[in-house]
Amino acid sequence: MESSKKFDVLFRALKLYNQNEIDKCEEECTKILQKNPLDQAAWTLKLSCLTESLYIDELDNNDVGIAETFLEQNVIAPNARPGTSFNRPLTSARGANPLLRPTTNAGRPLSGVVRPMTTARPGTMDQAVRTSRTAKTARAVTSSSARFVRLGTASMASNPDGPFVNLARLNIEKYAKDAQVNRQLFEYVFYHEGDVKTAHQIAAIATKEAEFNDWYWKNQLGKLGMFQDAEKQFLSSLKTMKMVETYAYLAKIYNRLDQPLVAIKYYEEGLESFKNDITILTGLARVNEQLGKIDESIELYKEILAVQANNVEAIACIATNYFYSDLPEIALRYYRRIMQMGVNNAELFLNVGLCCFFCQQFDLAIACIERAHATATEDIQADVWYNTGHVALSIGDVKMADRCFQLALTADQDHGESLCNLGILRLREGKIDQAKSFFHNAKGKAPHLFEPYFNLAILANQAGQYSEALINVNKSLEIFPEHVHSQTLKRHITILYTML
Amino acid sequence: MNLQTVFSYSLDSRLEAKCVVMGTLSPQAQPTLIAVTTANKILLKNDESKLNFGEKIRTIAVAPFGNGYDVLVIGTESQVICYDAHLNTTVFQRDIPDGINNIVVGSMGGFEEVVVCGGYCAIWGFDRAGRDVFWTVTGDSVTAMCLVDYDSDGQMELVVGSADYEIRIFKNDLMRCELMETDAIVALSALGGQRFAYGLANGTLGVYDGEARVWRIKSKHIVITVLPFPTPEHITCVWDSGKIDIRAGNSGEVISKEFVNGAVSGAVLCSPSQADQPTQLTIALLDGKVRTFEVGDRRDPQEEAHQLLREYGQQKHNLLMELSNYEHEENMSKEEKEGENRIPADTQLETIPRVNRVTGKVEMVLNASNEVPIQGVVMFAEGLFPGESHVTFPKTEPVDTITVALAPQKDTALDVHIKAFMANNGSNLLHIFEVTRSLPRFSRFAILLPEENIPEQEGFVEFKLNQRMQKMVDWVYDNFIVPDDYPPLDNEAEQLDVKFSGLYPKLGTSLRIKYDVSQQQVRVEHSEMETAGAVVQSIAEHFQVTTIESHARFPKEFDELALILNEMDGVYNAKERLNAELSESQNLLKETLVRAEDALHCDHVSIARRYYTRVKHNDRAMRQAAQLRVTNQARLVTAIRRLNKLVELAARLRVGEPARQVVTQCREALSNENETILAKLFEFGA
Repeated sequence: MESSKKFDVLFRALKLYNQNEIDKCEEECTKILQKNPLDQAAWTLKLSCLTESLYIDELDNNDVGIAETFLEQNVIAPNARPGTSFNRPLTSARGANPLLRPTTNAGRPLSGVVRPMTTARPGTMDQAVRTSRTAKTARAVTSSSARFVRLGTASMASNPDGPFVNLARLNIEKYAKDAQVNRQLFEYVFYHEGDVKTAHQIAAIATKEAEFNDWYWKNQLGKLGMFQDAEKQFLSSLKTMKMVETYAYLAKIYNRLDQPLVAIKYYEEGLESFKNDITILTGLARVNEQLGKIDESIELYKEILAVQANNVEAIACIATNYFYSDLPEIALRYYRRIMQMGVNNAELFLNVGLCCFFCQQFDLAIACIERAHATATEDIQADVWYNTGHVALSIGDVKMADRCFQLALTADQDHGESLCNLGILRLREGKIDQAKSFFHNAKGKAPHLFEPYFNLAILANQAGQYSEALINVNKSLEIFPEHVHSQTLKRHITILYTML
Repeated sequence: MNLQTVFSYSLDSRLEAKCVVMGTLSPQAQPTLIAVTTANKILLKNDESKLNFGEKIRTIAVAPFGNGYDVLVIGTESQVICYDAHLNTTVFQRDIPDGINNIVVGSMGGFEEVVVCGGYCAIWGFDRAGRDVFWTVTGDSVTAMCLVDYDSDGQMELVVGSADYEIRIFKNDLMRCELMETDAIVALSALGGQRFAYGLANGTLGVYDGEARVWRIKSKHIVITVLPFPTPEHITCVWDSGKIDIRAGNSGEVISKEFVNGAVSGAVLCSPSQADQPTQLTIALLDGKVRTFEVGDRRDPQEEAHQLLREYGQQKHNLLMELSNYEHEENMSKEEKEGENRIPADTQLETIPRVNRVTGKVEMVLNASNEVPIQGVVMFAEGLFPGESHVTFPKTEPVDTITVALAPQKDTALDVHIKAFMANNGSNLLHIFEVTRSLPRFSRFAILLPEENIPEQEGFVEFKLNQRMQKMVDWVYDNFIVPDDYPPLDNEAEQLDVKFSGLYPKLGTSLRIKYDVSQQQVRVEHSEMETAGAVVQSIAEHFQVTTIESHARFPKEFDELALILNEMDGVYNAKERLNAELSESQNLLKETLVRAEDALHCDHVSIARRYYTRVKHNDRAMRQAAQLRVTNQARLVTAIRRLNKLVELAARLRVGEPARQVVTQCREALSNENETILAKLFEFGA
């Protein structure tokens, strides 16, 4: 500290900023500004500091709010051909079979990582509003409000005596034209204040001042703009300068417009200029996965690993795929790799535990699952109990399984899978009415599962209620058209109908 | 030959007019009907889904850009979108701020597979990647387009019909010819070879072969579309009222008729997928009903013979009637003839176009010899009168001279067909005299005597021309009304200087044309660019000059250009800002709506009410914002249209390649936002 006193104050602040000592840097800036409130350098640096603490990667800000899902205006084809839209992923593709690989509540094959993205088969708004409250993962109402919520609270916390810059009194025209400060000011306004309108104003002035030759401003305008305007800005930005993020943003636009094939096109164009770029490869892998093209997605994740061996997302996705391809030993190796990299949370322990269990390493399995229980946070407790129930079932301890599923329901009363399994257990005990009620409950809580429908259909068929059986088997086939048993059952019932 | 219904069905939605096409939207599929509903959705037959577009759709087309299938090309109020329905991808999307009226797809000039979009005064051409390959301007908003090989060189030319009654033919981006019609062009379709059919807003239907009109007819209904069906020698016209006729392509004679009940939205042909299947004609009505026809030949030969016999009988009857008229005439005695109060046999009708300097109008003076009174006059000319003909009766007792004031709206040569009804007062026989009189191209100007002075003109255009004075004088006589008593222009002079004063509707303007033989220079002085351009074009046509490069200065138009460019800048900025505001308030509205639903769901009625009140306030604010956007958009569109028009006018001050260059360079300057050089381009050419 003694030596640093010799430094010029601004130099020290810059040094601190470089060393990522944001808070200290901010303090230094405040001191400079107290001495000389018109010091632009310090002012700019402080803006950067404030932004830095709240910076979020717009690329990953993929939350689609309820409002966007139901009040969508930008998607051209709401019912596009399967395989060309996120709303209708390929169900027949290899590896995307709901029998072998469970689906998320979005109706997609389970992925290695949790990520917010569009939901398939959104149902009604009513349902979505209800789900968002009851489920532990509350969905944002709109994607922009998602950002505002985060930003709003943060800015209040960081600056209780009011904002650093009073935007209403700022001469935006003047500062937006100043190439020395406009970027920092823009980022501050956009990330810290969340004032899209002013941010847009700054960017529009700045891009004109740069004579439309600065890719940075075009990208910022793209981020702010509506979809079509955004595309124009990004394409123009690519002409000025090829940047990875621009390709990624272009693809993001088309992901939001539900035109995944165009998104893939932009990713591939990006790959031509930036070979082996992780951002682009990850994006491409995600799109493929969401389209139900699991094999392609895994290939891409493997490519990512060849470039960046410690990419958690890639490892996790590959591991999940191996696990559901009946290769738990290999999946185990990948999960262990993640653990070696220092990640230790309940999800990972549970996964390792399940892998061990299916590799017949029971001693380790039980230990891992216990660790998972010890560290599980509230939001995944239901899943941990549900999986524990599975283990119990597999070792034949039906009573234990029963209790596990009930515990899962205590943690999350909407856990459809547990409800369904409890139903089956009741069925085994011969309590048909209770089983039925569980299945009915399950289909209400988890409309993405085909199992409750199929089970109900079997029950109805056995009871001779063929019309009800037919309704349910049709529902089941709607969710999972290739389910052989449902098809057989339907054929059987149809024959009975045509005999009449 | 007649039409037979093959099948009919309903699309269960009301359709927009003229937004029906047939296309194969996925590989190995049958062609399907694609239509736009009044709810602004695109409806695909045999597909449960409808396609949504945020903006009002004006027109649709299909382009064979897919891998063995068609993609949709959609023209909306502010953009053109090329959308691949099979892969659910947007192939390209281009902003066209003033909207699109028409789209044709095909090969044109040197371009393979180009999407040609006609908007207001401008035409864009895009290739399959959405790149600009073509841009040009026309005089008014484009109302119809088709591709025809007009000069039989194996390359297609673009035929453009616009609201200013003209059909223009473009070879690449060079205008080759202009055909004047009598009303706004509403339909154009290629009939193979050099021929194309056109339909006008006043119900005219006709066929051109190259530049020559083959035939035309008039109807009370308006043509929706004309199709080369069922054979290349026949055309099928579909009218808005539901009438369908098959006509002979070279004469317009009706061969067969059919009706559908209801107003027609559009008609399309479906080519057979297998060789032995006949081509089908599909008619879609505005109420969503669709009928498909095939051509059959059900007429039995006996009936045909009867028909022929009837026609001959009718002809015989007509001839006999005519003969009996002549016999009656011969049998009449002299007294009887005089009793009829006939006009003298040598009576002649004289027609003189004359300039009336007092009223400032061109007048057509009809004068009958032998003092025979004119009982009435019917005049017919294209685009001269509202409607197309003009009827005059003498206000008081019929006299032998009638004067009709004319007010040509454009600088075009006109043929005025005059029918005068003449008879002595009290006679029961009317004699009809038919005369055709042509009005010169610049009949809106009156020539002034050399000693008369006109105010100094601000605008002028100068260009080089190497011609003898004699020919230049001829051109003046051909193109202006020069009274007989006007002192003859000197054929041998070194310099020509003629002055004109404008007549109604160009009253108060003046025109001065100077030609210097030694310097080979023409100078046209006039305040308006449009007429000056017409003079340049007329000179070029008269002397068969294919290129004219000129220097021009029109302060009025140049000031307007500066004004427009200035305004456009502001309007674009405002548009951007308004759009940003719109997206913000939309988000807010959506959020409030969801929260309101949420509150309702929790039975918090009072909170829900509060949210809905907020929605209402929001709604009001957004309406106001929408009004602002509409006004802004209207200003933008007007500015763009006027700008396009000015570019066109500037191009018309040149001829041939220089004209094309001006358009191309202006386009480049506009797309590079380098507006400052526009005025230079206007003044000095490219």
